[in-house]
Amino acid sequence: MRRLFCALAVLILGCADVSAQESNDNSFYTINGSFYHSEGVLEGESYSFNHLGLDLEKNWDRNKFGLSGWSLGYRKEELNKKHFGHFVNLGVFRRIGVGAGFYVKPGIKIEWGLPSDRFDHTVFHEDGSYTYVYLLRNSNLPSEINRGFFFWPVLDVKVGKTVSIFVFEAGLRGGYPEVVVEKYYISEDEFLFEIDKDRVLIPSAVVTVGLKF
Amino acid sequence: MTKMTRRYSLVLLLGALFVGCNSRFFSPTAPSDTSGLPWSPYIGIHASGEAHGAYQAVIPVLMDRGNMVGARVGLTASEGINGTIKMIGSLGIELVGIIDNEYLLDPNIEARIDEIYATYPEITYFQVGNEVTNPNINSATMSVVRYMIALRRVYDHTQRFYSHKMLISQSTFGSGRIGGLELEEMVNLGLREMSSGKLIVGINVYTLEAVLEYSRVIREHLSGYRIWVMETGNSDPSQQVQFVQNFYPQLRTSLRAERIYWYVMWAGDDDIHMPGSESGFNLISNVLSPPLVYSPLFKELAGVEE
Repeated sequence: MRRLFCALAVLILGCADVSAQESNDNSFYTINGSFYHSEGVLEGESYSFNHLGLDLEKNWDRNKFGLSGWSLGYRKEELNKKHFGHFVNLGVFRRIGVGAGFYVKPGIKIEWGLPSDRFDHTVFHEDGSYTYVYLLRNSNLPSEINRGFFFWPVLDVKVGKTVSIFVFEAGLRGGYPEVVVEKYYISEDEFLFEIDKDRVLIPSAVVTVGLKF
Repeated sequence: MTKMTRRYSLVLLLGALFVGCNSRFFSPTAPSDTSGLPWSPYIGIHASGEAHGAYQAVIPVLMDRGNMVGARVGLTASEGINGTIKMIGSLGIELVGIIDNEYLLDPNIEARIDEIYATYPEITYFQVGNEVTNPNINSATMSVVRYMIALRRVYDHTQRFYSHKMLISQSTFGSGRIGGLELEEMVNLGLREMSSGKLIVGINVYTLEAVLEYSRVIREHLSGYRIWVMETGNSDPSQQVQFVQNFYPQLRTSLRAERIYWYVMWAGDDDIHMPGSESGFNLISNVLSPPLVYSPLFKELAGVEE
């Protein structure tokens, strides 16, 4: 995961350097506010929640290494909680014109942050057994705080259109965290425990309004 | 307007809009529980002789409603046999006995454990210490290092001679991050060398910050161990029902708490506004000068109006 993060950073810095050396630069920035809605079922428990994001995007005047630009963003889950639900992300994207001023914009990001506990849940069964499910916190950074941060890859695809200085986009986004499932049960008077890990897709719908400058 | 000025203006405008959007309208949705109070039928009881009659009157009421199955009681080295504990056990309540610091600091812990088990053969679950580093509830405190040595001795002695008994580790402090950090220290000092089939992890939890810290420690270190919340509660009687509605599911969800013990049935008749008073946690009051006064939560659990 850290390799992916480093590769994205190097790619963005390399592209920025190339861009700075060019004259007649028609590249532009956009600052985007996004509203996300996530809904689905994770190991028997449904979830449905909203979150907000703010991104700064750099759009190059022409593609470099097959990419159209980079983005740096912040996302907030659990808007009324200050202790958790904070994320920063860094990514790259490609804009593909599809006619009538519309474009399709696939992108990939690496996101790091302190997740909320909304995906953590325990399902108690009538026979006394229960299942505990939680996102694997895979980052010890910053180590001195060590409160359970994690990295995860994020893919998104948006359809958008620019009207004057305004940018309108809508699409889908998918986080891909690792989920731990712990099963507890009693068998022949013995209290037993099993653990399993798997990656799952957490999908979100997203609507973005941005300003070009 | 220059291009640069326009850029700065747009950034400031978007920033203000983003902050303004932090309203309840955008707050995450959460599932609501409409199936009734998410209660756990376990309550902490101060086994004080002066409350003997009150307990005898109210416990059967809660039992009839299925809202009391077990109780946690303190075992004090200096008091000998406690008749109130015997009475509560005789009602059919499953008991957890707290082995307090007085026992754990005794050089001959094993002999003290023999005495406790002989005095209370009806008790299967024993909590070894409660907030052992907290001077406000212990006449003599002990460090976590010394506690873990004592726990290991109690554990070894119990497994050798009383393997049918089940132990619960000390309940660590319930506010802020202290309890979680202390629990992590217990892990580092060998907690996991004791079988998850013979030792339940006890924690006290009163705040969301404590939940967060405990959940981290449990996720990282205590997979496979049973978790019981030995104390939780709210000192404002008018908030107790809402507290159970909101906080109990959080304890189950984030900490996979099998059991949750409410603190407390009765902790004195002091004015709840008196500094340091624990009476606000009470389910019943006026025990020393009846008639009893019931908290809103008790009324909900017992199905009584007054």
